[in-house]
Amino acid sequence: MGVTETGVGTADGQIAGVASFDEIFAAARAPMVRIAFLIVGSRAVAEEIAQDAFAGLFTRFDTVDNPTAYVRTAVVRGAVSWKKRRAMEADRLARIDDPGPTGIGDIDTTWDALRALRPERRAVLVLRYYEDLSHGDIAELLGCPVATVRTRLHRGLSDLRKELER
Amino acid sequence: MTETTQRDEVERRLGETLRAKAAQVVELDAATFDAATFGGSGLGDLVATTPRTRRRVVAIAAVLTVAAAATASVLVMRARPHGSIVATESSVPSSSTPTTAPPSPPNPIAAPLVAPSWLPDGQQLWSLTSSTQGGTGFPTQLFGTVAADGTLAPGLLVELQPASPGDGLGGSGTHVTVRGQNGLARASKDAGDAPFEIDWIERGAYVRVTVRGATADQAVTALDALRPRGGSLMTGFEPASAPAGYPLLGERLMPAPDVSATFEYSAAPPTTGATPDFTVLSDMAGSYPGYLRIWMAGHRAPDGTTVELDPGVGFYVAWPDGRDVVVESDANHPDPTVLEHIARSATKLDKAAAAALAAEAQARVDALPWLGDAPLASGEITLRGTGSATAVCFQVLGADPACSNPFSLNAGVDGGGSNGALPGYAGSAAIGGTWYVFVAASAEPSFSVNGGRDTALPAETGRIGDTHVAVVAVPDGVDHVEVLVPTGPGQGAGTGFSRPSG
Repeated sequence: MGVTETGVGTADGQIAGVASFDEIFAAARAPMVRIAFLIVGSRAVAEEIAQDAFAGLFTRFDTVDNPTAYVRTAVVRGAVSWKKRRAMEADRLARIDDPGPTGIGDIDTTWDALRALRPERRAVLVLRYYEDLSHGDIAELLGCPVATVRTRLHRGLSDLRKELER
Repeated sequence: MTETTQRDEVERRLGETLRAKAAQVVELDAATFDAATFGGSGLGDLVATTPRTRRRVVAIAAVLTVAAAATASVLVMRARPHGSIVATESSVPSSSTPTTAPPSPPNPIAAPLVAPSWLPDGQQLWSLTSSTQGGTGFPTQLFGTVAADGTLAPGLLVELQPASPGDGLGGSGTHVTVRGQNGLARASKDAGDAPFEIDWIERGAYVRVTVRGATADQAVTALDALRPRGGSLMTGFEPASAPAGYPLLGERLMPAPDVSATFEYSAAPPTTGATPDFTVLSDMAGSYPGYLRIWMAGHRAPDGTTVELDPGVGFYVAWPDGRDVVVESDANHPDPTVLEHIARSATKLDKAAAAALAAEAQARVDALPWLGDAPLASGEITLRGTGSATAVCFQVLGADPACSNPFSLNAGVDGGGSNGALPGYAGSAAIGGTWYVFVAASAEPSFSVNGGRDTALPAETGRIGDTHVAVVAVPDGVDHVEVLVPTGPGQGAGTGFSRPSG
């Protein structure tokens, strides 16, 4: 194992010998914040969640086989957990900390409707329709059975439609 | 707008919205998010989050808590949400309220619905919710040949999603030319053990074809032979153009409005934090996963149903008329024959029968051991459970009680709310034309309107031992109410309820 320029941890030989922690951080932080933001609805919280995920990766970097997958799993689960644990606070933070309306009616309306969904269902919709992940990949990320992903996806779309019809 | 375009619209809008909102977060503050945060001389120097970000979140949370506290007349923090619960002096112990008239559910039941008619001995229904849906999903066609065992050999499941200008295929895979377009062949995303899918964009449609029992070359040859029905591929392929070995086996282009229902069963009375033994999800006209997708992933049975078993997880069955049932089970009941028996017992219930079933479940929750109650002006709030509370019930004088879902800490009888760690129980019910939201929690909850700005709703409050209870009669015109319970300095937990609708 080598030493990164910041002193601790390295990815030498871990993902085809190409990425250090710094490189993974530089490449993955923005996508991770975006995924977290889409689930929790707050940029500040999303940054917090991503930062925590990278902190977790940093402490385990020598033993993690796939750092990017590790941090993505941590971000998704962290975002769902945060949203579930503090649903009310999340909703309010989202109103305060949202980047603001896009000015496109459909998008702003749909974003508002997404806020009303249960966090697990919202996460599945984000992973499916933004990340374009398979049911199996989503199940692995969320740590739940594939069948649960399917039903959450089904119910999430139904919930979203109901919200849009209000 | 037709049903098909309405259905497509939801998924199209969802994808566009997620991409547009994600794009708003492109410009990250480098000072806030610095890789050097993780560096230093060792792990002892590791800072999990930057101080600035942490301060920002805490500051916002603190403001919110102050705002939440301001909406409540008394803000009391309790460490234990459900310690020893005793009746207040003014309350009178009671079992479930005797009624001479048949019970009625506290909320409208959407019907007709599909309900299981068989469960293993001892299983009892504890929760039933249903709602009317417009239907979601993409136009889907299934081409192929059915093998003796009901599987597809081969099979092509064609899913058509509307494509917008500039859309790409995304991801990676093996480049193929299909129908004169650039396509990608790659591992199948969803269809069970199907080995791969082929994606391309053509005539305003993003086409995803899941392939089973054929090579990529064979599939491309078959797809090249198909002729579109119309100018847009969103109306599908002409069945008469299907090549030998790939006749049209079924299609779903215009799903009907759906009634979806969720049933939760348990042999033992629910205890705090328990999960149901069996959860049954049903649709009258389900589009997802739907008859064709289940066929693709599983097989068609001799009776015409399509079935799929996710080992150890659940059993799917769908009928050609659009009905489908998913039976999920916890780890204690993985027997697939039991799951299939439950799924196949499903029958259609009319509104009266469905309402009676829902009322039966509510009455069962209300018959759980009494732990305490609090009389309020609008009605009486009761805590019920075995040992510790598992549900909160609310009863208006002369009406049947309404109870929260005993398997969800904070979900209401309308199925709304988040399954988060609200330190208590919350429910919602329409009783006598008034919509009530009721809560029992470790601290005094506050209620607000979620309509772009927070508007506190006045609540009736009381106590059952250490537990704070509250109910709010929601004014007409308010369709969403949020409940917030303080959980500690700068922190709160909450949930939301939507006005019940049948």
